Amino acid sequence: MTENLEYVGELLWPGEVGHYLLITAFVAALLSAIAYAISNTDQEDSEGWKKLGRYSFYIHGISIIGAIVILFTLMLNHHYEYNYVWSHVSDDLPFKYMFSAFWEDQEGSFLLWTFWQIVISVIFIKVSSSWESSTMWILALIQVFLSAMVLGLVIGDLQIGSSPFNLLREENSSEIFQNANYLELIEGRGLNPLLQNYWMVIHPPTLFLGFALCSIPFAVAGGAIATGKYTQWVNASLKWGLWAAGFLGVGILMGGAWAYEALSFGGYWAWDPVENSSLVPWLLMVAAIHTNLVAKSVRRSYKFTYVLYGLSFIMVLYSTFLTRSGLTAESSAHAFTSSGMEGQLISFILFFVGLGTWIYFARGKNIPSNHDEEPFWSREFWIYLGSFVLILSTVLITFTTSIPVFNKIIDMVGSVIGQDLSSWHRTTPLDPIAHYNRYQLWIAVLIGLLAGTAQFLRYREKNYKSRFKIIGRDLLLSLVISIPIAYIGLRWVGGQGAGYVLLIFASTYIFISNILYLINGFQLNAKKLGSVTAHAGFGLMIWGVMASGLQKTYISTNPFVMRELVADETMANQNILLYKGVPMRMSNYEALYYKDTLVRNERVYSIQFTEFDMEGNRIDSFELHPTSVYANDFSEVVSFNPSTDRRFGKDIFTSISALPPEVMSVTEAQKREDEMPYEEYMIPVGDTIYLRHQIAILKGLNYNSFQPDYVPDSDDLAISADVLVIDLENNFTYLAKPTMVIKDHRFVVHYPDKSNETRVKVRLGEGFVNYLYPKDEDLEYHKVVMQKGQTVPFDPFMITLARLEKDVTHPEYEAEEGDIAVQAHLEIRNKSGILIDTIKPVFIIRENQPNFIRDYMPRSGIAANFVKIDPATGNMEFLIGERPAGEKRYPIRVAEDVPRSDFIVLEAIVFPGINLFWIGSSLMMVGFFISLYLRRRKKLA
Amino acid sequence: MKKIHIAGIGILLVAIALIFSASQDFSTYASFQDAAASQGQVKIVGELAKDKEIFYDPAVDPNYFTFHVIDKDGVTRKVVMNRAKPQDFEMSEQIVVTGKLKGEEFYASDILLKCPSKYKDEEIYLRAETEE
Repeated sequence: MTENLEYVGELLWPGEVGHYLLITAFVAALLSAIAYAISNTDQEDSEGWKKLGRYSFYIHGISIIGAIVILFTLMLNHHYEYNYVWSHVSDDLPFKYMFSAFWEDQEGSFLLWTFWQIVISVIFIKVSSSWESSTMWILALIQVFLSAMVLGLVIGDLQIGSSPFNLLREENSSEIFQNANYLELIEGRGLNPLLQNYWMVIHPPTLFLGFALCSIPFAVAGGAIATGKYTQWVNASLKWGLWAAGFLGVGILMGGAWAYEALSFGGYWAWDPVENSSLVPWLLMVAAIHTNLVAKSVRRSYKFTYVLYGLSFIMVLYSTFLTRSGLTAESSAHAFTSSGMEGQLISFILFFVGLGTWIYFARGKNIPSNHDEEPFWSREFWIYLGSFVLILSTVLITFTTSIPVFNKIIDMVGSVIGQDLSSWHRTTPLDPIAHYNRYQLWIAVLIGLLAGTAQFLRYREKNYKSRFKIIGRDLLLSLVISIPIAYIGLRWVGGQGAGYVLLIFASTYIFISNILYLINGFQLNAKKLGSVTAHAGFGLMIWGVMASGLQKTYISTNPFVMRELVADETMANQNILLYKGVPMRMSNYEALYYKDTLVRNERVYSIQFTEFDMEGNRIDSFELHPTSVYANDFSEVVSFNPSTDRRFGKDIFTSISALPPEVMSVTEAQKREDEMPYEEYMIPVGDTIYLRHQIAILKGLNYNSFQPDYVPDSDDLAISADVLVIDLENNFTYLAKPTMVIKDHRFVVHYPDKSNETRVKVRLGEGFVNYLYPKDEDLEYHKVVMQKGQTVPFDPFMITLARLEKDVTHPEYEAEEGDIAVQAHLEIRNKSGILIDTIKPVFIIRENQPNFIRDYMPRSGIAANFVKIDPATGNMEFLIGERPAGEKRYPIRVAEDVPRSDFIVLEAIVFPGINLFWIGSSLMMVGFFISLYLRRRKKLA
Repeated sequence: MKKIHIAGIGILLVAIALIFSASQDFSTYASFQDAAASQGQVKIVGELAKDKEIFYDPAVDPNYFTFHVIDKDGVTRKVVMNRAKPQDFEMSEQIVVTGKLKGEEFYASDILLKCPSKYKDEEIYLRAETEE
């Protein structure tokens, strides 16, 4: 219907170029994969094929980066004709959030992932060049699938990928596209305010870098095995595996930090499907690194290592599927919508499962395997056990996380056999955190005991009895030191039951034994530093998990509020109400909400906390600033950002959980204002209104100072009344400044003033319109003739005709073709010569007829009409209007017993020992990088 | 058979046992009728009854929030929660509440909302509208 419309202002060529670049990228990746694959088999021209593969890959990389640059430039320049730009950018979005907007949605995040794969692959070609041919065909195949995700090709009914360069008018149907000039009318939707956060800038790139790195060890090992290099790959895969575990781990931790710092659920880990599905590849990567060490040291477990690397990569793909298929929407707090590309994602997964399995069975039989048994007290045996435990952990996590997938499969089976099997559906556990913790606790116990002991064991141990003479002392010492420390720890974290006893012991043991191992024989050994750091870090992390989890306490409970209704122990009160300026005691703290300020689209609430000890002495005081986040158009509050006081021993976490309804939404505020029980009083200045609990005195009218929410604008006509509210009983006074504004001489805006302390709200009656914009019949007009520059008395003022302007600024004047218009500037001064107002009436000759536009200023109460110009004499004739004399009464409206709206509902949680979690988990990641550094140094030496 | 194989099989058996035990935690979506029959906690999936009262007045009690849910059988019950009202509650398409029935009222300890993303299915903003 709108096919033939010539749209105005659309910039279409970048989208077309971008689209062709994506197609080029796809084809080049395919070509690269084929060329690299042939380079492995064609002995004669291996180098030639390899070069072709490499250059095709570079073309692929340049095309993808080109498409990214185009898309980003379109976003920066607000080209709303593109659907992706319109959906994620708005005019007021700051530059720093452009990145977040870029990877907010499917297409952008796939581009980000593809980008990292390219960067890493290019680095790989440079630094691991001897493995280029055998590895790159697999990496190029990954690129084929990834670039297909953003291809946007439609072949018949089949759609391959979704292009970020689709146009808005192709993706949406709206009447607005009937208008050729629709771009003038639209504004981008902008970035979801929840994601306008610096974590959104740094977390996704780190996580996707980790995801991308997970593909390398699989490609190295699988490619090498496929091309007959059965065992030589272990050094290369280990190096890349360490990088992958390090970066993916940091990415996951950043997610936890984001959740803890910026989301209001109060914690760093909630076993959410989205979190789980990034943890599983990491756990498998860690298991693979350990078996890879065994393979490198004792030439065993090549197949096992390959399988683990493969699984880690497959689980990255599965994670992508889970989070983007929309299947987890019922069990995840992160709302992911279906991308419509499930089929494509499944074929991505199946292809690599197939490729991995084929390599395993077709080539795996040639991998030398060691048939003699590993001794029980050998390091390799214990590492295997540890890997089994890690696999067990991933199996349990994946099983529960996959419930929505099982339900989907049940539905599919049901539709095949033609029955409704929905009664077979299961839901995620009622309390998911307790569910996962219950099982993963034992995993952590086993890891602690195994890794604490295995450090002291040697590979291929033949003579464990003599070995024990050397290490026995250290092991015994670890045990002996750990017991009292674990006991103290248990007293602190307060866990009940054998599980917690064992967990605190195991985590103490792994820490102590690793430290002893590091300084074994009183000699610090740099070689051991990487693994010791990672393992000891794990011990610390578990201490932190236990302390912050078991001792997490809600301090936002008021001991003086009794409630008859407590249905369940778990439903203890978690929120407290804080009135502005009223200190409130909660647990052993006192909280005072004293101020709030608006910063961009966030309102920052300042809360002063004072901590008391048991005797009631003040021991500490600090400030917290939780915020509420407004929608981009300020119509409502969409989320709350927490604020945390970070200390060495504990954190105090606060988040707003509710605000008064009228603060939460503009519609609600309007509704409440409309229903407000105002009484109107017609009183002269100086009169007193007697209310139920207070008195209110009209002190005067005001043209200079207004209700604080009102921001004056140049064309506004504004008036406020000074109404002094006096609460005699409480000896409290409040000067209310209810304000009325006429904007652009067109519409009226009220700014009522409310005193929360006296619960009185004051508003100007509609009659005030007559003071801001009186009717002509209410004014007394006098004819005044002036020349330019002349001053005439007009009791009680002096009026000067200061200027005549051709440039008419009067808000009521709408220029028309052929108008001759003049605006006079009449300065009104009082007897002392002080300027009160400048009145600017307009004289127009339109179609040979004189017209005039009145101007009125409420402060002086003077109106002026510019009615005649005598060109011969230069005389200008004005009709000057003034209000008739007499007692003036003003309509003041007052509502009493108005509910307070100056409160916040706050949730405050103390997390003891949470820094142990952050320190411990960060040490684990540092461990990977230390290992990489030490291995590199060894190689260079 | 090597020791490590025995260990491997052992782990496998443990895994099967644990999966079996873990699956005991999985539940089915119950109805209010099931909740009445059961003494323990259940998970109910349903919709918000939009014509019934949604009560949350923080000035009275910041930890008291009630609403009505229609379960999959079409039965409506009042749900009571000791928490603040979640964001965008009125917009929810689907509600999953975990808790137990006491008399006529369902006391929920946990709630999960499925909301249509506000940033997805919206009409195209008109510039003229946003300027007002």
